Amino acid sequence: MGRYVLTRLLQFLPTLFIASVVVFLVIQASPGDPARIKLGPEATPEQVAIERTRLGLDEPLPVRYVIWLSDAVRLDLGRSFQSNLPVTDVVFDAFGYTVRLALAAGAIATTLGISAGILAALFRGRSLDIVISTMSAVLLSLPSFVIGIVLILVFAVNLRWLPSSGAGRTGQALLDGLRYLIMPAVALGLPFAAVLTRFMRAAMIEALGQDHVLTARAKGLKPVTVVGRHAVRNALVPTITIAGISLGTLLAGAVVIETVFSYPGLGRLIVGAIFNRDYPIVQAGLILAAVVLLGMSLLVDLMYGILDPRIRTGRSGS
Amino acid sequence: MAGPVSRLGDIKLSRRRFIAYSGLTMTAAACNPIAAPSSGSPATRAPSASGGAAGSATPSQTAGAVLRYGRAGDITDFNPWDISGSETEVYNQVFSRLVWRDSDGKEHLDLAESYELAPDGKTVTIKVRSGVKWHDGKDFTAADYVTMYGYLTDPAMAEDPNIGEMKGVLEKITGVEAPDPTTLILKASAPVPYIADILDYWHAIRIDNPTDFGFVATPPVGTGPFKLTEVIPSQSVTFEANPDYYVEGQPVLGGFAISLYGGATNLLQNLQSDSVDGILVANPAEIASVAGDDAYRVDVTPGGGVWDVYFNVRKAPFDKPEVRQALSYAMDREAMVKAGDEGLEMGVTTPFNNPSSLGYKAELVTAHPYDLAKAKALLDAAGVKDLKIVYPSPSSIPRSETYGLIWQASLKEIGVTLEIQPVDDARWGDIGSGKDPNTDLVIWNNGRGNRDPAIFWSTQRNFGGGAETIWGYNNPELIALVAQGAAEVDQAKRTTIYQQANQILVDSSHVLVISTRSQYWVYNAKVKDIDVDLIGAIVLAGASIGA
Repeated sequence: MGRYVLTRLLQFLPTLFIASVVVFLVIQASPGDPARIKLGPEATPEQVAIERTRLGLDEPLPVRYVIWLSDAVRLDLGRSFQSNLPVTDVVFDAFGYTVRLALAAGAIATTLGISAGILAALFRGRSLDIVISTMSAVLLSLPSFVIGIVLILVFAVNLRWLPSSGAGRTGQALLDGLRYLIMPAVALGLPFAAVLTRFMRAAMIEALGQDHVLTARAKGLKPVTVVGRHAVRNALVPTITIAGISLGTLLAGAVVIETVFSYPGLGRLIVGAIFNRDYPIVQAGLILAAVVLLGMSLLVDLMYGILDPRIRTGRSGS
Repeated sequence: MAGPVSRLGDIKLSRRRFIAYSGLTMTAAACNPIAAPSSGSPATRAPSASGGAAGSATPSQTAGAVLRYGRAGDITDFNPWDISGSETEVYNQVFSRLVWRDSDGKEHLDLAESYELAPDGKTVTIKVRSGVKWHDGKDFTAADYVTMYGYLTDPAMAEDPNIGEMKGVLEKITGVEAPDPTTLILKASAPVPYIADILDYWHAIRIDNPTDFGFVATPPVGTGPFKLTEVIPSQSVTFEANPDYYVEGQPVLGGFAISLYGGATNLLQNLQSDSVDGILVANPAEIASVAGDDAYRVDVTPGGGVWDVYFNVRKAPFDKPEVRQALSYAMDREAMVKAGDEGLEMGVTTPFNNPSSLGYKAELVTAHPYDLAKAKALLDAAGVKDLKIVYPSPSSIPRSETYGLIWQASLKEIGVTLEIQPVDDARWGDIGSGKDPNTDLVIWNNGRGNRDPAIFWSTQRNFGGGAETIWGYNNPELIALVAQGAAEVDQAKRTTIYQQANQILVDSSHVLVISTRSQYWVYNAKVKDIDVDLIGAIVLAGASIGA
């Protein structure tokens, strides 16, 4: 297992290198002068020229890349063009918020999605199944930002139960902080829950019809044991695959949700930085996102092994 | 329009009545301009224009309340010397200046108790308040201004763009002396008849860490009514009342908190859900959603800005003044501001549209009324047919496209095709910087129209008509007038000079002014006594929140 993890980690390096080149080229070659944006419309060409020099934009693109890469491998990601704050601090602070949001959304999605999928499968063709399937179809067809806006209008503007944006202040009580997290997490998690519901339902229906489950039933095991130990566990493997693959979608969705709720996560940070052509922030933010996605992919692979020992040992089920 | 629309808390004014009202006030102020800035001539005033309780809270106010404010975008620079910065909520709360000018152009003494300009216009003697303390408890004296002047030549700060901007404002000042703690003497290489504007610009700052120009890593130390206590990037900025503030009984508020929201899309919801007490709205169309709701108040603060179009006069046929004039006559400004600005702005043809400006000339404010026949005749006279114009429209400024669509429809009637080309903001910035020589024109915005014209022309370089004009406009007569105006001590002569310059600007320059550019603040109706300075930045020293 250790060797497998090490091999996978080493495979990350060329992927990250390619990602860094693409990210660097795309952002730095796009139109828009960071110095002009920073100084505003009244700045004279001389002031803009001085600022370009200060920001290191006078150097040719390849030189800038080499400088950036050599600093980055020493974990020095530079300073934000806009705020002059260390990029590492800014990006990791924002990443902390995104992780919090993604974990909350993931918890909501997996809890709701897997439970609803199991229930729908167990009550296949009955009213509960129809209600769950209809709800999941509706949630799948709604973009998360629409859900977000509806939540804001209902729970913030009309009922005034929850704050409509932001993440609160430092030093606030834990519950106050959670109030800011509820709506973004629900808006992000619900479409994801709908996806998981459908996959879990299908996987459960398949699992419930398999021989070993029928055998377990025939042996007179309690229905809870049959479903929990034999059906759900098998059904979770494909569902977790989907969950892992969908994590990228969850992160992409976080960009939109963080913007809708002005939640100070990595997505909002990167979007703002792209508009301001804050190259160091965009580069660091996107590379971090790439690392997270690669890491999640590895984690999913490892989860397979835990859920299904046949995968870990390379044995087939037949 | 939205409930009460006003500039000052309890006065209910429509936009047009507000303009008329302020125009009258400013005319009165203009009759007594800075010709008499002798000792103590401008009143020392607590910054509370609406006459609210400049002191401890009255029974109708919540003592020590915290004003919660929400704004779109981050704050990445707290240095008030960032003259073109947009952090208009911060500067006047943390920092003080020698003199400040309110939205009507009227001067108020702040850190200065009096000031006097010598007859030759080259020496200014300022009596500085005593007993003022910096937020960290250190005494503030006239010598601090000598230190601040030293920042301009400090090699450690040479790269700071804020220092660069202040160098431009103080370019004529050659020396600053403090013979005693309450006396400050400024010496200039040439007359500085616009000294009040310089003193208004010059916020008292202390740069304790030369690598932190924008006071982002460590909160700034000022002398203003509020101390900045905490900055969480992209989230919030917190201020608390300065107990040692030198104006008795101020600030009334116990604190001020800014929530930083990334986009401007959900600002109103934050106000409506009572998460904040006030916001700055970028798009006037959003104000419609609080229309008629007495729970909110909208304050429109002009600030001296304009929306305009730069023509690339290096490119035919825009090199012909009559073509530019024709396109101006084909502009239905009234329809543009009605559709694009909810009628909150005024269609104008000059940045000097405020009667308090020395360059103001009433007939130039709307010099080119909508007249398609005249526009067609001017184009015919210039021999221009089948003209096609590309109009880049930045995506983040909805009014830009609205203006473009209305202009497009008008131009079509006289055989001119206007192609509206949506561009992202960064690309727009590039075009506005003159990076694309194929540009026909670009919509832009400029400020400082209600500043002294000397300041206007020194900061709005593209209006100048010289080598620095990136659009190729060169007018020696305009250049000479601008230079004369900046050095002339006689106010009457300056008025004549700047009115002539204004005339040239309207008649033949490459800039086609479209409309005024204001800021729109929406407050919870309980918020009272918020003042506004000449550039439209809020002043909260006298602000309060009703019970």
